[in-house]
Amino acid sequence: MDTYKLLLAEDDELLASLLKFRLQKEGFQVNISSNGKEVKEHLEKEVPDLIISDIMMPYFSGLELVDYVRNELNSKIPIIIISSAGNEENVLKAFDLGANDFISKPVSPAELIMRINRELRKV
Amino acid sequence: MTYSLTYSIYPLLSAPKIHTDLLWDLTMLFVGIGIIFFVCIFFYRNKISARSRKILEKKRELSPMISEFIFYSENGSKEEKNTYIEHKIHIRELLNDNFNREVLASTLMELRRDVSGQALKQLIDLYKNLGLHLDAYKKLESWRWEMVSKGILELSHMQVTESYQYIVRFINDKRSVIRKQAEIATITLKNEGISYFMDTTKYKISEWQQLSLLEILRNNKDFKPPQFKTWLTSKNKHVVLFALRLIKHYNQNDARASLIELLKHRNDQIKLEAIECLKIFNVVEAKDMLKKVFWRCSTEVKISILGAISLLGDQGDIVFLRKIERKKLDFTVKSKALSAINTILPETIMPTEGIENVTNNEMPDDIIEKKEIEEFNDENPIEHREETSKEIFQEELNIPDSGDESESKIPSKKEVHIEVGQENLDFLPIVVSESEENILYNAIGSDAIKDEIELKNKEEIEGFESSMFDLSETTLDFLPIVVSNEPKEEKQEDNTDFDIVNNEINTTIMDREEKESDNPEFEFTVQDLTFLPIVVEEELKNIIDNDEVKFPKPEEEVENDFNEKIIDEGKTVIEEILENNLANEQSMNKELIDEEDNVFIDWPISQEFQQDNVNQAPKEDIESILSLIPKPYEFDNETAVLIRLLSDIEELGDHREIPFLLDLLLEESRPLIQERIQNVVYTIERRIDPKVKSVRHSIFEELFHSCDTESKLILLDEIVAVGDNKEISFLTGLLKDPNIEISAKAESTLAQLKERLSEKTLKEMDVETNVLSDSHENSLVNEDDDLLTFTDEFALVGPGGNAIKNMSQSFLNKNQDFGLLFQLRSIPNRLLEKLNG
Repeated sequence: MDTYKLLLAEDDELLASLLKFRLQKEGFQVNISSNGKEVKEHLEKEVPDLIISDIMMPYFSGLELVDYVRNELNSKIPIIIISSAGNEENVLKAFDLGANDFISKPVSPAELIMRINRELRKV
Repeated sequence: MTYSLTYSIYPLLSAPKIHTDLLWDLTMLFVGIGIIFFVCIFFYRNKISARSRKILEKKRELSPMISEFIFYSENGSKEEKNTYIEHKIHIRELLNDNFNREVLASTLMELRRDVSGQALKQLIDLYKNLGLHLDAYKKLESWRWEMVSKGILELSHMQVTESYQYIVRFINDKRSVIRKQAEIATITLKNEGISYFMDTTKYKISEWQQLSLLEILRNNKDFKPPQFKTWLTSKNKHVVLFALRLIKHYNQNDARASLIELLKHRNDQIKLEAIECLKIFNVVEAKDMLKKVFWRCSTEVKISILGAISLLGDQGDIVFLRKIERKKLDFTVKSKALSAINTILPETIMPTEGIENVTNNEMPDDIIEKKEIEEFNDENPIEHREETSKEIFQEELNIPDSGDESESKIPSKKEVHIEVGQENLDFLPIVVSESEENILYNAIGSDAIKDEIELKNKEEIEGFESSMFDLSETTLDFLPIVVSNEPKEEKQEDNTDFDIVNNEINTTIMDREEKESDNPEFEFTVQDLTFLPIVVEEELKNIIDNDEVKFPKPEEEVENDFNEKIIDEGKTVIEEILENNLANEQSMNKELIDEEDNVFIDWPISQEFQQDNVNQAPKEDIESILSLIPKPYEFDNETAVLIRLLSDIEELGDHREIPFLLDLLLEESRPLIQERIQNVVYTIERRIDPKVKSVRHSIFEELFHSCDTESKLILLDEIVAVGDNKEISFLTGLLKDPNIEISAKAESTLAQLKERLSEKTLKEMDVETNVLSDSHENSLVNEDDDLLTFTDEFALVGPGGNAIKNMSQSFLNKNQDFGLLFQLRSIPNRLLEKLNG
């Protein structure tokens, strides 16, 4: 069985490390990008099965990432947005741009895994 | 002099002589300080950067271990367990270093903000298991406020409840940051922390801090709010204020007296908060205190009090609010008082500011011309018509002088109404028919139509002139002012211009019903009915439809209908008897009508309705309905007076009137009146002797008393053959006869008669049931179902036949009745009995 490749775009190293550990333990192959530039470079090299992205990142916000993936890469890979700014405007904008799901911080790793699996099942 | 001044000024402007070495020394000093400064900057910057890097590296080193500890499960693989043990050993070693402990604590604190759920619980447990809370305790002992604050924050975030006792000591700390942090930690760590805080705090609780504390209380699990009214007595006004807000937040409305008392508090904030609570809890009893404290409050509090009074107050508080309006107070307070009045009694105070006085405004004469009026009329027909109609009405009230003197003397119809008394007629509706309104509206702007209106008024005046009414002498208060749609000629024929409304018709009907219930016959004379206008209204159709209840069909007609149905199918002997009876009844009815020249008046049926019936022959249903409508008699004056006299005698008379009645009976030739006289006599007899049976005397009884024993025995035999129910009572009386032979014969006769009557009854029931089921029932049932439910006796509830049985039963009971129907039906029987006996 092939493992799913996840791209975790999170500038908080501790949280990224924690989530990576948990996701890897769940069987996913996780790549971490700490800013928008790295995400873009990673996407040019390799398209993951699912993207988990924070909204507030250096160089390239999570919403811009969604727009980039949907409109420039014309990719339909699932994107789950994580943000501590879980206000209505951000949520609506994320979904409007094409995000598949939205999780507010603090994040429950168990919940995140459930949502990832759900999105991957759709694919 | 000038030289000296110049000479004296220059030395002041010139630089003092400083030794060059000193300058160099100073230069070296500042350069050295600068170098030291920059060296220090670089040193500490590098040191901080190095520390940050070191911390970051340490975090990177610790984060996998933290992840391992947080997400460790005992069900994992062996390698996972080995890794966990290795990490545990490693981290124990690391924790020996304070720096590592510090980094680990800060790492856990950072992660705490980003994770939730089970991971958060594991993280907190890890914090406690690693003993990092002990470092936080040490921080509490630091002299640096930031360290103390940081320690309190760590302990509260990591939910170290054991630290509660250590933290509460800082609630009254002089340093506000520590104090606030301690307040939050106290409330966070234990639910009872709020009580301790409210009891012990001495310092001010800022607005922001109150909000923070309230937010924490809301998020606390299993928090049961204490009775915050306890702290309304606190010496700390901030505690009182916070308690008031908590009372409001948790809807603790059991502190009404305290809230009222707090209205007298010197602090405006507490007053305002107490007023808010009183408003929310609807403490009406606080009104008096609100009024008392009002005059010495600030404007803000006054406005708040007025807002409370507007919610809690009633009409009794209007006086107080009026006083405020008249006092020299801030205009905002006055405005609030007025709005409070309007809140209690809406629309009491009308807007006054900026309102122009328009009482003296008049319409310029030279603006509107006639053509413009017509144009305006086209654009706004309704408004214009209203105005014009008013003008015409005023013209009608003022009769033109150009008319004849006779006409001018005769008041118009509307004037007559005014003379009758407008005050008395105020309660009456002024109804104008559509036709008249149309004439009025269409007459606008047309002289020709104005003439028509005048002509119409003349016709009305003439019609009124010929009226028999003298309105000046007649009280017409009970009549509404109604202008009818009926043609004038009909009104003149009716000798009145007035239509009647349903109320009056109903009143008349009710009176009629009452009199009918008292007396089986009508007692109205023409004179009695003259006050009633005979008017046909379409609205009476409803009454016609419902008059089955109000005017039950006369029994004669019902019997006729019923017997006709039977006779049509009749083949048996009993049916022949019934046929003969029916023929006799019909002939008698005909004679009765011919003799008395009774004229039937189509009482409630409109002419239009009748014409429709005539023109539309197929409408048999409607005719059948109309046939059920009673047609009241109209007696001549003499007969009506006689009937009234009989009724009076029946009600008031005694045995002394019986001879007179008997004489009258001999003189009277009309069967109906004869029957009426007989009934009156019988009623008086019953009143004198209640033992008089409800059944009439047997015809054999008279003969019985005037014959010998042998004849009596023969008569008793005949009773068996021809007797009926009337003879049963007679025979029962004979059972006590002293002559044993007669009593024994009477007993046997009674038994035989009863047997015969019972057989006869059964036969009649069978015959009636069969006949009805074949003909009458079908014919009735096939008609409109509504017709099957119009009387008690003919309660033909449905096609099931139960009602038919009721009919037959009622038919049998007819022999015991004393109505006109029974009397008429009994005549042939009497004749037959007389012939036989």
